[in-house]
Amino acid sequence: MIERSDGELVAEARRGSTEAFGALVKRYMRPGYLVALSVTGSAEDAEDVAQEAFVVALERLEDCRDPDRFGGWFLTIVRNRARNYLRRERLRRGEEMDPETSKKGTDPEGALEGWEIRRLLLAAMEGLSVVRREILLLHDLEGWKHREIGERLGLPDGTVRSHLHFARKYVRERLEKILKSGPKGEEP
Amino acid sequence: MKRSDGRLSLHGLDPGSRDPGYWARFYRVVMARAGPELARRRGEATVEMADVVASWSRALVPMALLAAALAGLLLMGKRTPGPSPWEVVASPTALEEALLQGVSHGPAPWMAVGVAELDELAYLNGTRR
Repeated sequence: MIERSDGELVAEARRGSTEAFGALVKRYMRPGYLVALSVTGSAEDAEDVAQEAFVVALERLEDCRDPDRFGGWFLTIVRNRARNYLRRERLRRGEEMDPETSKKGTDPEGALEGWEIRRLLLAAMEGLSVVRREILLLHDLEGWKHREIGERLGLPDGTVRSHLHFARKYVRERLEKILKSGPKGEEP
Repeated sequence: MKRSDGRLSLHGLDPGSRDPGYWARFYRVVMARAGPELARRRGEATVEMADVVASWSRALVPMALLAAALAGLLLMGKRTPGPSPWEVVASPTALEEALLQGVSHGPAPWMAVGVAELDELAYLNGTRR
């Protein structure tokens, strides 16, 4: 079956096609979640933000000027909403965001458990810039190519490669440190 | 955490790796929340079609009524004693009647021209003789 383009799906979704909008959700739910995770650093918040972003994107579908580039437009909505979400949370709490990852110590013994691995990876990515986190997750977890990431984030291929290289290096070093001691350190 | 192609193994960050039903639930939640907006859009699309039909009918119905009224007035007001020269020219039966009864509105311009030409012809014929 020929995969329909984002542009075609957007055109149908604008007319209220559940099937077309569903196809867009299936296509971008994982990248949307990962971008939200890059910003919030929390799985639960990322889920809320990504789900909300889909509804907002549907409501504002007429604002998507280039429907063939729906992906990039949608990920921008996710990123902005995730940032707003963080701001609101900080204001609500009246304190700097303190991600769950830095609250609890890392136990290398239990690091094989799924939840611990997640905590460990999030801690390792802490301090990494949002764009590098996004690129790392979209490439190494979602399997997008440099070109696809570049198109959707509005970056040249070379920049994507460079960010990916530094992100991997940073996360590896951080993981080693965390497993030895605890979550500390900043992005070079 | 490191793979042979240089990629980091980040599967621990994919909620679907721990919970196989995660993404199906995620999808269902989004679609449920998007339901009212999708329904609104479908309604709007239907209204747009109905609007097109309605706008056509809004323009056509009064025009048809006006045309019918004008035609009725023309038919009602047509109480002239005989056919006009143009009607005579247009209809063979009227022409026949006109020949029998005479044209009520005087000769048509082309007929007048024709008579003049005939006169000239007669004059020329007379001078040649």
